[in-house]
Amino acid sequence: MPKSGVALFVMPSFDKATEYGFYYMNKAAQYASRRIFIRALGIQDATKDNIDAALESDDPIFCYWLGHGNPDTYTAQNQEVIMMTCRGNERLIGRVLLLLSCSCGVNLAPDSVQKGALAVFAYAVDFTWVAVTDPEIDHYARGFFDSVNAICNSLAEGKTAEEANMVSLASWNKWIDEWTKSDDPYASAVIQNLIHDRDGQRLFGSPSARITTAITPPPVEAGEIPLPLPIITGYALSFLFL
Amino acid sequence: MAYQIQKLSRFIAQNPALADLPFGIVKGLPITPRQALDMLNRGESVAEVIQAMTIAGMNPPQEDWRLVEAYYESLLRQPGPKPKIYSIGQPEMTLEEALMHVRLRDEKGQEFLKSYQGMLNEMARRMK
Repeated sequence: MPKSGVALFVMPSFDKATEYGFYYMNKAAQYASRRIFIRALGIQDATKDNIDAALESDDPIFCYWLGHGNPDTYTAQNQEVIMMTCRGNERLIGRVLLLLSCSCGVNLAPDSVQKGALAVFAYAVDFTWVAVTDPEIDHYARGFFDSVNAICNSLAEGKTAEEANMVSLASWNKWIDEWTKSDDPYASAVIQNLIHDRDGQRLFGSPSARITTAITPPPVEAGEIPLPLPIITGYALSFLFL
Repeated sequence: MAYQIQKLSRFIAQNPALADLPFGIVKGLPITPRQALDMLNRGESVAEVIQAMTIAGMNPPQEDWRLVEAYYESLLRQPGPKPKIYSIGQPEMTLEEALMHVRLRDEKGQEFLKSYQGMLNEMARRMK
């Protein structure tokens, strides 16, 4: 039975799109590591062999996985296929999964729940955003990834899957509202894609699923370093907390 | 008509980022909320403008294609560095490329159309 309070983050980074995901997943890892144990497989360590080994050794209840995808396939570093609708997703039995990947909410996510996954968050559309510069300083991209990370943050706080989904939807709406008030010449492009991703977000499986017991999050002090740190392997270690 | 003017004025004040997006067709041309307000204030094509407001977000597909094309054309006229469109799984796309797909009405163009229809629905909701 998967272990409560244990998570596996898969964070490939090999093109501009995954660079963005990688940067923002680091933020989610930092936040969640205050409350749960996290193993993060970054960049070249985001491989099928390492994922299989981590699922076996850590038996995490929560999986937050980034990568290219389509309605039936999820891939990790360099588009190595990790699971498909027909095979591989049976390893998710009893787990909660957040797939930051295109279109996996069409077939792969509901199929995973049918095979025994506790709950799966996924996108039934291509997950799209707009950006003009690097992830660390791009003001257009932030709302997209903050809204996805809201799911992870809420689960780590002990909220249920349904509560986490509601917090995430509120975050999408907050960002849409903020951008509608903007006079930035490309604000409408941000809004267009925020709406697209919000409306494509899906939750399958048990709405009452939790990955840890509910706790009140401690206040974050200015300058405080979150402990315990997530276990990050490979080159990802060099990028964490940049 | 005063009520429609009030609605549009409020919409533009509260949603400046949406004020210049094409949402309907009047006299054969795409119009934005700001243009619609100007027309109502001038008493020009009042019935058509009100009709466009009434069916906003529910335009016939052929009109939506014209609206999304006009939208990307307007984005390309904006100043400053142009953002690119990213997607996990596909190469990034420029706004010029997005417009090309819309004009071709290919698979990617269909996605941009659906995406813009989502925004039209949001505009219609906020215009009510």
